Amino acid sequence: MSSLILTITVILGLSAANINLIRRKWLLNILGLAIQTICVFIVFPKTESFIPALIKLIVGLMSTLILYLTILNTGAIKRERISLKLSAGEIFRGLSGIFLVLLILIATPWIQSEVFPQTSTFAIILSLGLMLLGILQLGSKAEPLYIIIGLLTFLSGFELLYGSLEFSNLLEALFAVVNLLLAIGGAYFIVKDLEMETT
Amino acid sequence: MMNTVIIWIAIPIAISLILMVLQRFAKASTIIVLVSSAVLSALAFFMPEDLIIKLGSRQFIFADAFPIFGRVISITKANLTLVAGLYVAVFLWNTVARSLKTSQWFNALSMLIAAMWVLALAVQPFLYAAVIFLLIAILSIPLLSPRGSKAGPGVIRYITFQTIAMPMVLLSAWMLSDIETAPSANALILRAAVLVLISFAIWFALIPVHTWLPMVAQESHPWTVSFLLVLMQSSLTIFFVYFLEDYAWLRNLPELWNILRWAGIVMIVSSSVLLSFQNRIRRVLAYTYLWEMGYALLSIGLAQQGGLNYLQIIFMPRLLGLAGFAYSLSKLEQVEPDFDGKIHSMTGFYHRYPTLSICLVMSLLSLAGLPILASFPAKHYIMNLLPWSGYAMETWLSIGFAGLLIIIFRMIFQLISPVPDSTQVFSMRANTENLPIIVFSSILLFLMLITGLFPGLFSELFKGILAPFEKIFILS
Repeated sequence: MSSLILTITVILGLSAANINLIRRKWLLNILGLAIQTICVFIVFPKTESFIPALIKLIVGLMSTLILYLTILNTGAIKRERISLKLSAGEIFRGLSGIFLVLLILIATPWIQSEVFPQTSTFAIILSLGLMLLGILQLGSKAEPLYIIIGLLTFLSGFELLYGSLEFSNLLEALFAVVNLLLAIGGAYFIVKDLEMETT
Repeated sequence: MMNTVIIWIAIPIAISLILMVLQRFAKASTIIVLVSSAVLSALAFFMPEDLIIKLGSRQFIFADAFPIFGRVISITKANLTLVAGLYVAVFLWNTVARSLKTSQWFNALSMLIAAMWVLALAVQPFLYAAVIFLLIAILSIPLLSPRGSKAGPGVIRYITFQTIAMPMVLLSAWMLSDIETAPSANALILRAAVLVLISFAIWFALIPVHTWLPMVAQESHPWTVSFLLVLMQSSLTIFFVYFLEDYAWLRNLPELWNILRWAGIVMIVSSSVLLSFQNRIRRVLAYTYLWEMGYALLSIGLAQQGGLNYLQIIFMPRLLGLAGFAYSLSKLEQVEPDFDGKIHSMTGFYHRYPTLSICLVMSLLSLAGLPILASFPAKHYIMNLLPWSGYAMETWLSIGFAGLLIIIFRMIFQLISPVPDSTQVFSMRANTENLPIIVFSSILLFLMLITGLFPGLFSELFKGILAPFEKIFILS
């Protein structure tokens, strides 16, 4: 795959994760999660087979769909207009995210030569970026939906990194189950909190 | 040919799926889970060494490995004692789960979670267990945060910590995939060792990454929390010993054993200090777990002196202590709706609920390791292994005891104090403890005493827990 496409994919994936970190607009966040999944699919190494990357795509999109349908059916989170004006907290989170991505860009050559020599530069940048942005999201938000999105972001980054190092069918199956159960867990939290509000 | 993996993993998973369908039928699902867990634990205890059961002229041969997705899940005779112990816990906790108004998913999910712990200990390569630990955490969500209660931050933090711990173990395994036995101290090994130890610190909920534990204990039902903690503590400590057994590079790290000993002491002292100032009784459960985890770490640190025996001696006392404490606390919350969970609000409880109050205090005293109670032989054993000179460990350990005793005496004082309001004198009589409460509490107290007086009774039963480990005892 041409490096231009991969570069665009990495930028798109990290931007989607950063938007998820900055904004609390559920539709935007769900869309961001779907974009991340597609980007991971494109960058995921396909040297052994195309199937693992495809499974990740299907599982990622299914997880996104579970969250989307839960929100849509329960009406748990109200539709809001997306304004371009950013609050101080959003600017802070955005700058933190950009700072982390820059840090990864600077550290990537060393990480690649010292720790992950067989992993491509694009995979390292996207995977570490997703993992760190996911952790930042976990630390900066408390609502279950955003925590679950943070966890899915972190896991997608790690799965991309680990997929470039080692492949195991059993591990891939376990990752798929974890992702789906996390999405179901997120849906459970959304429904449960809504029940509490209505009673 | 039958297979141990099918019996102790696949069948329990299938049963739990059936129980999910039957969750609304409390009696039916309780009977199913009790019978199945009793059969599974009895079968695990009494399985012959050669895994062949002879019934008359017929022979039932059990295979101990099951290939799946190019890997192997294996339950050998050496693993069966721990498997039996896990299903004993499922049996014990399910006997009164419904009467304590736990989640209606408890029967199904307790069975499923126990099966997942068995799977985590049986999967080869065993590092894949890291992902299964995360699965267990996610499966615990409906138990820890049932419908009708708001999602608390503790459960979410628990899932978050488990998610962060998992990649570190998998990455360390990849880093050292070709040098499992190389006794070297190069940078790669140190890097992998740091990753592994951080993961275990998170899994063990060591201070300062313990914050989710008191939060979960405060938010969730004590009976559910105690069940999950018993399984977690029993399995994770053994899983850590698997690591030390299999990876020479880890167990040969300079000062590792000393670090483990001191980590245990720090845990005991810190949790003891936190316990002594505690005002919320639900959190006492969490800090007692941390206190006990300190002892588990100390015993692993003393492995070269035979400290691992502590893990087999403590199995049943820990189970009984946590069950007794969680049961009496859950019942007190149930029969006293105005009880706000604070220790100073327990004033006069002994006069109204004598059996539950005695069970509560005796369970804590048992966990503390007081003579003639269940944990005493185990605590006595580990104290005798300490190097009683030079290290000052004994001083810190005494401080560790003091903290737990302070909270117990504070509790006793509140329980036996008369209610200041004289109008409540009328209600100060034991009339709310029905027969099941008295019977169940008495059985637990009786077992605690029996275990303390005849330590060989249960430690003999669980001595097989250490069967898989040979290398770790012969370290120089």
